[in-house]
Amino acid sequence: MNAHLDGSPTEDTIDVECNPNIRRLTVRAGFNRPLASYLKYLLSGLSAPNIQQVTIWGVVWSREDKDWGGWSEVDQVLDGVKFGGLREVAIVVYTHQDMDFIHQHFTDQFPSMFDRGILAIRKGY
Amino acid sequence: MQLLPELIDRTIDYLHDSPSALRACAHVCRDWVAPSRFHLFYHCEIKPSSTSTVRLQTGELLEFLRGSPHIAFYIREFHFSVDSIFGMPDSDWPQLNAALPHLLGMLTQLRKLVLHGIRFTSFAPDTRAAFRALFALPCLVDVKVRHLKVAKLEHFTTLLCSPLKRLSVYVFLGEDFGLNIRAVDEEVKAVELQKRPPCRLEYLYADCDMFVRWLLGPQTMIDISAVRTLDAWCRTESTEGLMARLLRRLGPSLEDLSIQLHDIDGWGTPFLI
Repeated sequence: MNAHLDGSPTEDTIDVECNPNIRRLTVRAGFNRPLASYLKYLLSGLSAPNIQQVTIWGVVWSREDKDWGGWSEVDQVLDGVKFGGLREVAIVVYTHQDMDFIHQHFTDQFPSMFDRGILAIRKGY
Repeated sequence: MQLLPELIDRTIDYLHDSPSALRACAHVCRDWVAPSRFHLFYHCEIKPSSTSTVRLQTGELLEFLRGSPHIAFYIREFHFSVDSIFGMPDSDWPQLNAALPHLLGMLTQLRKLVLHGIRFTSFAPDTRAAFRALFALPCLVDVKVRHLKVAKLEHFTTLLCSPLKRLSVYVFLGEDFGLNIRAVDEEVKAVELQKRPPCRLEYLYADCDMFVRWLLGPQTMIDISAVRTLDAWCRTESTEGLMARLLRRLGPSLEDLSIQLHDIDGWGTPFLI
């Protein structure tokens, strides 16, 4: 995504501040810390009272890859009042790795969504 | 015993993805023919393969529809692709240009048109006119173009007509410097003089800078104020910048947003907020 050298957003960074009626938001990319940081930025700027579904599609290359963490802050944003109407947070993973491990990883990273019973972790095709 | 028409429709709808079952249903009785044919001929595709060329498939379909013209009324989706690893020999173009206007002219009930690898400027005038007529059908609400090659963007955008609700524009692979640029320019001028109402899109897929930049410019052909669903595929940083502007322009109409971010392997700098 577009960002200044210090990692801050530019005017060419996609945000959804002007789109208050979004019901479904899907982001496709690789699971890594930059994406987690970007999603935190994107979701923090969203004020769409009717949002029902957030879907994140991505690739996990290796379970040893330490760069695919950092999602607990996204979980905290999604646990805010303005996301009270969420019905599903879906994580769709393209991978050749063991899905049990990936399932556990994202369950640990999204504890609030898991507790609310709206976390769905699926394998992409 | 006579079955209710709704029950027949429900039964046959259930078999929509089974051509062999639909063909069997079409032989049951007269009442079952139309609903079976509705699914059998709903989708029609011409695509080059290792065993058959676009020219051959076009000729075969035209011959079939000339023999059974009523079948053309069942065709609601038409996919036409000339882009493939097999290519198309130059010698095939005259025959294709001879058959296409007749074939396209028969597809009067089309809802969806998918074009892949079309070199619009290179087509003969009659073929271009047939494509314009196809795009102008009041029932055509969904258009998908992929790897379209045009000499100028307006050669494509002037094809779009007001009934259109869904538009997907995949990569413009390159420009088509056919011999007919001046002739197409004249056709475009004639279309622009018609002062047609704009297309009021509800769905948009876009992934190329050239088209999105045009969309955000002073054009009056496409009204994006009612777009409810956007698939924004950002292949490059510049596409993302254009999509960011597009999202701001769409504002409150947007309900369903998909973003594909670019360069998923290359991200090194954490996005700090």
